[in-house]
Amino acid sequence: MSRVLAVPRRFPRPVPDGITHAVVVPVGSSIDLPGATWGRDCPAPRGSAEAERIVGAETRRPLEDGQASRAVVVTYPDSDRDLILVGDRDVLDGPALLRYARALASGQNPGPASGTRPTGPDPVVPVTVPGEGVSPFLATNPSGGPDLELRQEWGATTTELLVAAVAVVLGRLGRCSRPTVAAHVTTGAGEGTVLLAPCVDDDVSVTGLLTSVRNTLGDPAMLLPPAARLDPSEARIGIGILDMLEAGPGERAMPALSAPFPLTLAPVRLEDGVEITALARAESGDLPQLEGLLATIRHVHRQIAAGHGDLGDISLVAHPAPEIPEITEMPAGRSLHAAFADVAARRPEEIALSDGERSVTYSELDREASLLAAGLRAAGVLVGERVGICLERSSDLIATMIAVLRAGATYVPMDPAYPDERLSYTSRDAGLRLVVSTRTSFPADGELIVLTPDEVRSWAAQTPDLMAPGTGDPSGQGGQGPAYVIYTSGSTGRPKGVVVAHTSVLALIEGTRADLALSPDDTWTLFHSSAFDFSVWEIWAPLLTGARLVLVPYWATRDPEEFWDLLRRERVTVLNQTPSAFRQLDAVDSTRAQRLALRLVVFGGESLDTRRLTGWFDRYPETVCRLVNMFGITETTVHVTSRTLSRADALTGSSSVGWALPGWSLTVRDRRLRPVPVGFPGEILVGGAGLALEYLGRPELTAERFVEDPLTGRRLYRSGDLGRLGPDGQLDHLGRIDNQVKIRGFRIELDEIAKVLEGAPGVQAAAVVVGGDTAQDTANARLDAYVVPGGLDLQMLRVRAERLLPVHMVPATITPLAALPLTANGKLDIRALPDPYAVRQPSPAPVPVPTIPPAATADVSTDEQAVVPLPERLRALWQDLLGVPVSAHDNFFELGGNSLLAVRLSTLMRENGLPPLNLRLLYLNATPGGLAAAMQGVPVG
Amino acid sequence: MSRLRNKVAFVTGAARGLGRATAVRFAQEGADLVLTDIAADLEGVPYALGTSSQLEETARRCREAGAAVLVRSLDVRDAARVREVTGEAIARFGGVDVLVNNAGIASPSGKAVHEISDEEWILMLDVDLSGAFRLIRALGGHMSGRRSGSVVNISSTAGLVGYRHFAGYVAAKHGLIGLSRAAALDYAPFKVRVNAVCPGSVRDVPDVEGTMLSQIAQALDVPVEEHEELFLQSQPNNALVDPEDIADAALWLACDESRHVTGSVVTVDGGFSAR
Repeated sequence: MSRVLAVPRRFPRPVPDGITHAVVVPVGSSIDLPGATWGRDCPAPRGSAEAERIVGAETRRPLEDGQASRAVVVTYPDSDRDLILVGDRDVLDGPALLRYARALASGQNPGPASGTRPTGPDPVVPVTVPGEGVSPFLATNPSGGPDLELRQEWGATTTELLVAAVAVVLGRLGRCSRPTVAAHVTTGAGEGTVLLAPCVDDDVSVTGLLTSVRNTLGDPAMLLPPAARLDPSEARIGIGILDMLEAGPGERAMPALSAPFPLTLAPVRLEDGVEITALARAESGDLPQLEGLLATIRHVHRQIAAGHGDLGDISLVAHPAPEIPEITEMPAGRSLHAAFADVAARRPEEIALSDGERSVTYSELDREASLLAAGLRAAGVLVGERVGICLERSSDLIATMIAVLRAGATYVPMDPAYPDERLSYTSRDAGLRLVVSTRTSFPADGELIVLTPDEVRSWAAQTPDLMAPGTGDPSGQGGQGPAYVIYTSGSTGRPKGVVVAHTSVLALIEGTRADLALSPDDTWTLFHSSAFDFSVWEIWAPLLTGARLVLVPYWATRDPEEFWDLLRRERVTVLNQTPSAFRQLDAVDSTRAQRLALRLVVFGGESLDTRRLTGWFDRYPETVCRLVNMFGITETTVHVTSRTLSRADALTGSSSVGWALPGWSLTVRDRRLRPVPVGFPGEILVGGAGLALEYLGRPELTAERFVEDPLTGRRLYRSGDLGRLGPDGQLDHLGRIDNQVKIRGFRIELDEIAKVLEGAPGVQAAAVVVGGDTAQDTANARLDAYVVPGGLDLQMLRVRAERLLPVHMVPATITPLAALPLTANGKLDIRALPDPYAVRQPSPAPVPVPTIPPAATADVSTDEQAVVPLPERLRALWQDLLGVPVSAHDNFFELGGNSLLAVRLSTLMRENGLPPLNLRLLYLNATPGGLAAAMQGVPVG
Repeated sequence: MSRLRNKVAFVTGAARGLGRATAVRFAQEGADLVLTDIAADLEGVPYALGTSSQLEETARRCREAGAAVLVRSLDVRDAARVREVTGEAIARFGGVDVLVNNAGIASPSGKAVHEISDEEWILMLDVDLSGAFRLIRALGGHMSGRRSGSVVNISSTAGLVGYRHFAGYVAAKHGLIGLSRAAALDYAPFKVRVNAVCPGSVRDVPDVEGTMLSQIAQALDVPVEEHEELFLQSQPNNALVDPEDIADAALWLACDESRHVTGSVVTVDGGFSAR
């Protein structure tokens, strides 16, 4: 019974989405219309809104499957009439449709529309798509009618110019050199589709591009056969251009009533120019995005039509978005230590620091810093030199930082927990002569002097008071001079010292003070290592706003329960956390009956998944505690942007990091620093008050990353992060640029896939890497996803990925892990990831089966081969081919199989003396057991 | 006012009554319409059926609401004509999105089972049950090929409970609910929905020229006022249903607001069948 119900019988295949087009021609008053036409009365005259509505509705009606054309006569008052002819482009091309409509409207009976659409099963001619797949307009597999339509009057244009403009825009926005564009053309050889992949590199000349496009369009050999069908999983066309229709006086043409491509451009030549209709599907984007893209294509089209220069000189943006003005109210000569001294003078008896056991007032801290500064001087520290500080979070750490600055030097914070090699590398690279540390064994080689704070103080004791530096500016550089050097490790190469000026830190605090309402009433924590620049914000913001700073002991930073108790005990009001640390704290908080006194939580250091915040908002409404997401980089002084988060952000999973801080500027550019249109991704460049001075001792790297804006002449930092600016100036952070990979012609952002997985319920973290043995053949490339924690419903994750991602971005494998392996610098350690494992978790462990030697070369009789059952032989072959353990119930495609590997499987089977593989059979029966049964003709229920 | 924008609805029995009310309501929501009716009297049915003049009046009201309309006579017993008219509808509009199987007769009735002739039994089932089957057969493949469609079968409270002396009608309307459920399962994988609406006693409203209540009264050989009074007494909400109430239920089932509703029965009877 159940088997009978489960087998679909004689249900039609989905109706293929043919391309229809329509023309409207006037009908003479005395003409008698022959032939089968339908009529429709319009109560209002031609051109009225009601008439437009009726004509629009009639031209947009699809044709029945197999119907070649439909004629509808609309009768207006006073017997005025229009003939609307809708036609199938496969049967009637543009000129033929117009001819047919004119014949009908002039009273001739041209007979039935000539030509028929191919019926029966489509003879599929597989088509290889040239070039690279790029989808600035979120290409999805075409299906259904167009939902977005935009019509614009353009001046003169040709298919050639349109293809060239689209190619340049796709190449630039997709950062690829040979984007794929489809164009419908009518040539002497016939009508059809041409796939082009012209080179749009910057050094190609405009005339060169046009010549190449013209040659391809005019080459009859490039016309795809009419029966050609593109494999949807291989279709990489983001934009297609339809054949240009020509309309006479009084006539109108609607060149496409359905959109065969994610974005379809349909041009119609009128008497006085060309009208372009852009059609797109709602799932591809929204109308403002479509408008933006069309405006960009139009702007590029204009420049190409002008016809000279190189493609690199073409700009995508007519009017670059205005830079966000920088604040310049900063007192330029100020230094951090002078600003601190001012606060200390105003609030001498208030508590500056507390560490749980004792508290230090502002005046005590000031005195301590003064004493240490004198000691440093006495120990030989010179103005302008760098001094290492390798101390745990303590009042000595803070006092020493201030002291180094007072002494006219620059501090280099180092984490005592770092390994010896890292400490000695930093000491060497920063050219340190002196390090203040209590670490039992600081790796001091050569002439490096290591002093404890007590030793520094004892140096001061031997010094006359006069030696104690004041809060003046011994360096003579004012605030422009360096305050600290923090080492960061990029994804490649050795750690580099980022040199940051006093004024940058002061600007950061001035840029946030009003908005975040920073005041002496606040209590902050110092949670992070002084070698992590988040701590710069944690230390200087409270000290320069007169607040109290609670030093968090090491064990409390490791234990969220302890940390929660500390926050409650100390009545902390301002908390700074990385999202992953906050997640642990949030989990603890949800188990506690009492509430914390927090009024502000600042997220920084890594990207935030806002979806996890709803529970927190339940306990701490936005009116009680403000959550602020800040995006920043060490090279731009901790923060660049800020966004106050609301429950709405949590519900929508917003990835916006908000607006640039006052004093900072943001711009999104392509690799040649040309502005990228609003709404499209590019590299985030940062300008303004927070820019670091340099990479210490690395002039080439400094010149490479800190560049002059060719548009404004301002200094900009190239972040290497991918972002997108919204029309309102808010920034969406999209991950690292170097996480973009290319598989089988598709450009894929690995972070985008990870974000989708992370959005699933229960997933705490996800990472996606390119796996498979690509050394021999790139067809083996495979997307491997890893998710945390273990025990997740992998099938659910897979379904989610398939629902939200294009086919080529769905991971082939998903492997659950207890935690993602991280490098010492907190980044994903790809080499430490385990081998992926198949998605289908409940599969029984595969029984090892010896690989079957190819029949042609081995002395194995056919009888012996037959001993190994077919499912086993298939399973063994798949295992070899896919490189993962396979059970009889595993799905070929879920294990990473794709169409190329299917072809290879077929070859392998032949080589092993198995019957030839019908690929269709494989698609229908994708498990070894199922395929074997199907090959042996056994019905599978 | 655009819950059916860009949709084409095919209504049988559209000349008057629930068919007219539903068609006009759909037109107001942006649908284009294929309006069909037998537009002739039928031997064996003791009362006058819809006329072509009444069908034209329904079409006029739909056009007035902005709809494109295709008007055709259709006897739902005639399988060839059903194929012809549905084919023309698809050619005219490119597709049919909504089918309202509304055509139906209330008589010959008024007899106990053993008094019903073969002809009376066959006529009743042929129109009220098999008619809907023929329309679904003609459009089911088309709709499932398009992976979209909604079929609304106008059944009755007689599809839920029995009525004395109405065995043929009750059997046909029960059968229509069964057909709806089975067809719903056939087409569910293809995003085509099939549902039934069960109207209770609908008032005869002059505006839509429905005469169902008077026909039933006539079949039972009682004056219509007395019959209406009798029905009112059994109505928990003390009111009869208006044609617009049924049109609104059909509209909800026709449009995408009910996209996860299939194989279900929407009863609009003022609580009559609740007890």
